[in-house]
Amino acid sequence: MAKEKIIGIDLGTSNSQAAVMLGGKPTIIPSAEGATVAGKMFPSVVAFTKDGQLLIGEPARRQAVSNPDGTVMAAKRKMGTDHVYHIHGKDYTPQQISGFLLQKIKRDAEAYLGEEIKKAVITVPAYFNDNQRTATKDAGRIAGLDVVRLVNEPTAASMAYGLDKGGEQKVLVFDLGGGTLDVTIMEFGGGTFTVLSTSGDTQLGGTDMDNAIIGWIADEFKRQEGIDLRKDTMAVQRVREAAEKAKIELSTVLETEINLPFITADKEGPKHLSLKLSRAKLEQLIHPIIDRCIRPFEQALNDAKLTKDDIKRVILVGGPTRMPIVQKFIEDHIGTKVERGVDPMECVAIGAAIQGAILGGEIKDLVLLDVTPLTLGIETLGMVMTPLIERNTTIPTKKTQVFSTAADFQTAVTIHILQGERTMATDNISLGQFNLVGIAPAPRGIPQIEVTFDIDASGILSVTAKDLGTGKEQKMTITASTKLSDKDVEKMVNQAKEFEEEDRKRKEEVKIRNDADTLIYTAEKTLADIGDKLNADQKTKVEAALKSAKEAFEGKEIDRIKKETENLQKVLQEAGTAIYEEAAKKYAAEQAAKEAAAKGPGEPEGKEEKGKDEAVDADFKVEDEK
Amino acid sequence: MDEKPDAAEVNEEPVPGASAETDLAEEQLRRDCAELRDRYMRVVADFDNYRKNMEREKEKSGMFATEHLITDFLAILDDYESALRDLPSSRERDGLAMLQKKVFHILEQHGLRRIEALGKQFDPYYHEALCREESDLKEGTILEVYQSGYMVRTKVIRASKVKIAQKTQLSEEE
Repeated sequence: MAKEKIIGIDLGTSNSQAAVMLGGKPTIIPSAEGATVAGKMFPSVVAFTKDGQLLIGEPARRQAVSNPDGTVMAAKRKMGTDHVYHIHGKDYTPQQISGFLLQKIKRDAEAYLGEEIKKAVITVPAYFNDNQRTATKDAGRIAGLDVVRLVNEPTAASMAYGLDKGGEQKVLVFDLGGGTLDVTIMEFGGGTFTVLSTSGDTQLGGTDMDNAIIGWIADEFKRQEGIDLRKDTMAVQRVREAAEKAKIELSTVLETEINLPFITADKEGPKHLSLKLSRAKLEQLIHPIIDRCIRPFEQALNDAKLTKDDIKRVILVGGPTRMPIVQKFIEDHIGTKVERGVDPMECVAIGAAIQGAILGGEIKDLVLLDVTPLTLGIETLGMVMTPLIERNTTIPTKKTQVFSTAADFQTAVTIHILQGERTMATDNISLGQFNLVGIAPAPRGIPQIEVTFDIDASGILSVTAKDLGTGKEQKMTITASTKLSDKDVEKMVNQAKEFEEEDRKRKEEVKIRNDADTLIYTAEKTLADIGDKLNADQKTKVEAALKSAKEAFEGKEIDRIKKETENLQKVLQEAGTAIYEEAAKKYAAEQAAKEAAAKGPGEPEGKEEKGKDEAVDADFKVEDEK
Repeated sequence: MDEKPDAAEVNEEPVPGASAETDLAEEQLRRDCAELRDRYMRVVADFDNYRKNMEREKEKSGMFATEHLITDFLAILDDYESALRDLPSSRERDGLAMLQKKVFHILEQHGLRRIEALGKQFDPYYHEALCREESDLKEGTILEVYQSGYMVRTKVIRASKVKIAQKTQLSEEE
């Protein structure tokens, strides 16, 4: 029987949403109306129409203006009080109203998961008192949910970022939503979060920012055209939408255009609005709003008797915190970089879901999966690193690839195990090496050496090399291949990015050299095998091309090597073609085509690569991937 | 040639303590084994479910991508509506009307539907009331559409923004 799922609910003043652990990952439960571009939340609005219909969420919000007496918004503000809503002759407590919202969440969750949901974790503001918390539990009960735990919103947000896995530290949670700002400072230690202080502003949020932009657009237009758009309801709609879109865009680009053709008209004809809005201008417009964030910020620090240097981690909650200016404001005032990696609009619900999973015993069942932080591979022809397991691969994992020898009659190969992101072997970390001996003598590229990288759940890497011909096998075990500090990993990844262009060039060079090497080998073999089939003229040509290629290969000029390789290729093909023509003639005459003719030229391995067949190490050649 | 120790005797009376420990150990192993098997099955099941979920999501996201694109296009449809509202009759206006029709038709083929609003009864699942106005018409009748609403297949991607009729003060019902 599957364990009972405990969902996590973010019951917000303006918007609500829920999440649940699915397949080990916290997943937002979409509202039944489906995700809109505004996000997956639904408005915390409940309404009763005049004919007794109950509306919850978006539909309730949409008819609020037409039914103000029957619509309830922000019931959360009244939780824990004895306020009563009188609606169409009936009385409702705030708990009952919130209960309707929770009912919708329960229904949507059951539809999404396909199973009954009986338990939930609900989040509440850190400053909620006993009455408010009891009321929230009651609301859950009314909705048919057993509220197994109430979690503080900043705590839930911190859990979404995994702060409960870190050590003792002081955390600041900056929650800037559509209409309110909440600043909370907490201390994490001994497995729990303790609230040290809270502060905020209940009249400050993203809506103020939107209004600032709309105001500016309207003022600009009035200046240009003498018409006040605010008087035209239709125009205002379009301006509002354009303002919201522009605001969101400016989080990723530095300038955007607000383009509203035919926005209005006067006796002279239609009027168009076309304005450029830069991020700098936007920041100027909302600067007063950002300034208002300073007071709650400093108040929270004072109340907690801390300075900004005491704060180790900063968590952002709420849509407006996605704006670069908000993040910069915080980073400037605190001096720490804000946490990234979780959507600030979803982190509270996600944190609640994580708590629900812990309480439901799901986390215990989960194998906490690790990843290998850097790419693992071996050194191959040309002193490059050929990757076998990419970085961030979840472990345990196993990967096998077949390689070959680089020289004729090579009877041993060296497996040099590397870790890192750079192209050249020497630029990466060497984890160890071993030899596999006793390979049956054969022309290069013929033996099949199967190399397997196997990482177990503890991060121990075993590398095995097996000669598929003789069955001989050699193995090496490396511990601690995953135990690099985050800083080290970051450094190596950044280095790889820095040298990306350089590495690419070097890889390219190695490839050209290897191709040349292979082609020269093939050409020599061809001459040896079927040189007597070539007429004197062709033979001379091939020999000459071969000589030039060999000379170029001895040198260091990559361009020359490439040129000579191409030339040799061409000459070989021509010779090959000529031989075919001869043979065809002969065949036509004698009806006896020799297979050897088909074997030699015409298959220069260096050129026709199928993408994977890169000639590689002094000891290896990649043949195929498994 | 040595006599075998009385193996039979030695083994008949199990040494007290040693065997009980073995039994306990075995019991523990059985339990561990059962637990591990259970955990393993769960993980396999979870993975399978996750995979199925992923497939569902992929399908949805394909449709979601179209929906997203169509939603972005609504701004264009709004522009056309504004234009046609304000322009006097002319060849240019005719041209714009043709363009509008064409754009709409293309999107229609991907599932777009315009929501009927003007003159209809207000329904919060399809319409959003921006304001009310006293009128002799039945309460809730949509008097004006400020912004057209649209659906993609059966899903409302934007509700129509409307003005609805309100009972006049003179009427006594209620």
